[in-house]
Order: sequence, then structure tokens, then C-alpha cells
Amino acid sequence: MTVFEQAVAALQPPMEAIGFAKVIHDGVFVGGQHGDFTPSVGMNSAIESEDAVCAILPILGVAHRPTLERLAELTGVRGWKTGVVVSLPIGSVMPEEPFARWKFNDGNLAGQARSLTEAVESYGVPWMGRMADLDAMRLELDDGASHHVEYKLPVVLDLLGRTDEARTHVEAQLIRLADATHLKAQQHRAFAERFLRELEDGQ
Amino acid sequence: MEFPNGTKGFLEVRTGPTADLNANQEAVLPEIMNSGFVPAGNHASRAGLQPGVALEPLPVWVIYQTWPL
Repeated sequence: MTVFEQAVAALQPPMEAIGFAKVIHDGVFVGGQHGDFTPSVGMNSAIESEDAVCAILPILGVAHRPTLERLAELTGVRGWKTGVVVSLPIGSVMPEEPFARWKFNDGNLAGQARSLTEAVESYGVPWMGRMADLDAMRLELDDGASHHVEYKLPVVLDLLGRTDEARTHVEAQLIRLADATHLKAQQHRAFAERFLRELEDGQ
Repeated sequence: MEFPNGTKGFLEVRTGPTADLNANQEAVLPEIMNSGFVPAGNHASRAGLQPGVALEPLPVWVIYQTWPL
């Protein structure tokens, strides 16, 4: 068993006690659903000292089922359905701890698991609760640390009924990537074409 | 990662007395700089990235620290 696997095993009882009972993707703890919103904590890890130490920097995330299902349809990437819409490192919501992380080794597993879980409960759960609202997600996407915003934000705007802003956002991204030939530009163009076509068809 | 000035980049830190890139890193780091990359696997999911959805090319910094930090 690697130190990371031991750390995840040690985290299971305390994380379950605060409502994160399910583990997916070998280290993503999923909490209870609130309507269409589901919180999760990804145990983002780095191995140090030749596999003897596992540093975990928890990433908070909140999924919104209709947004992710639409993204899966628009892109053909089924994995969206088990992803998140907004995410950020837990340190971002901890006072004076922007790079908070917990170092696990085989002598401190239970203690570090308790400490990490306490931080999730004290700082992560309130943020995830605030994100269980589509307009709060929109603001977080606009001004936060989430990834793949160029896909998520227009879909969220459209679900909020702000279709013109969704269209404007996608068109701005198309202009930004107009001369680019890399893979992201190719993927985004395919998404944008389909998204804009569906907006046209819906009007 | 995103630096305090807003610049995004890929930072690889290698530590220890034999600090070096492994074969996979030697292959993938130039790709990240030139073509971007597609996150994959559980590690990407744990970091909040969406596996299968490409990220744009990023500057890459490799730091070798041969003495324990």
C-alpha cells in the first residue's frame, strides 16, 4: 500500500463522519447531494522523500448536474458527468493558509486525517454550501480558480437565462483563439460551433 | 499553477541527490509548451481538472533542487 493509499484509507472514517461517504477517482470524497448540487473534496497529492511522505493539498469542488450533463452532450466527453463546475484549493478559504497542505507518513496517518477533515468541515463545507447556487457558481467562475471556465461559464449563463451573455462569452473566446492551432483551440471551436448552433435553434 | 501576477505556467520541481526528469517528463514537457495537453487519470480529477478536455500551451519551468528542501 502506498502512503497515498494509506492516507486515503485513514481519511475515510473522519470524512464519512462529516458527510463525505463516497470515494471516487481513487481519492475524491463526494458529499451528499443538495438538489442538483454535489460537493466533493479531491485529495490532490504529491509524493516526497522517495515515497515516504505524501503531501495532500485538498481541492474543494461543487458539481451541478444540469451544467455537467450539458457539457458532456456539447463536447462528447462523458467524463464531465463526474466532474465539478467550480473548484479551488482549500487554502484559498483558510485565513493565512493559502498553500495549506497536510503531510502524511506511516506514523501520523490518523492525526493528519483528523486535522485535514477539521479544515474541510470548518472552511471547506461553508464555501461548498455557498456554491450550491447557480448564480454563486457564475460569480466564482468569473473570478475564481476553477478550470475550463471557457466551457462552463457560457453553459451556466445559458441555464440562468442569460443567453446573450453566453453567446458573447463564446464568441470572445473564439476571437481570442482565432489564430491558434493547438488542441485546446480545436476542441473549443467544436464546442463553440455546437453551442452557438443550439442557441440559434432554441430561439 | 497561477503565479501571483496572474501568469499561468507548469512548474516541475525535482528534488534529491539524483534530481532529474524521468523519460515521461522529458517527452511531455515540450508538448505542454508547444501543443498544450489533455489532463487524464485520477490525479487530474483530484486536482479539479476535467480529464479529456485540453488545456492550452503553458510556459514550463523545471527546478532542480539536489539538496532536501
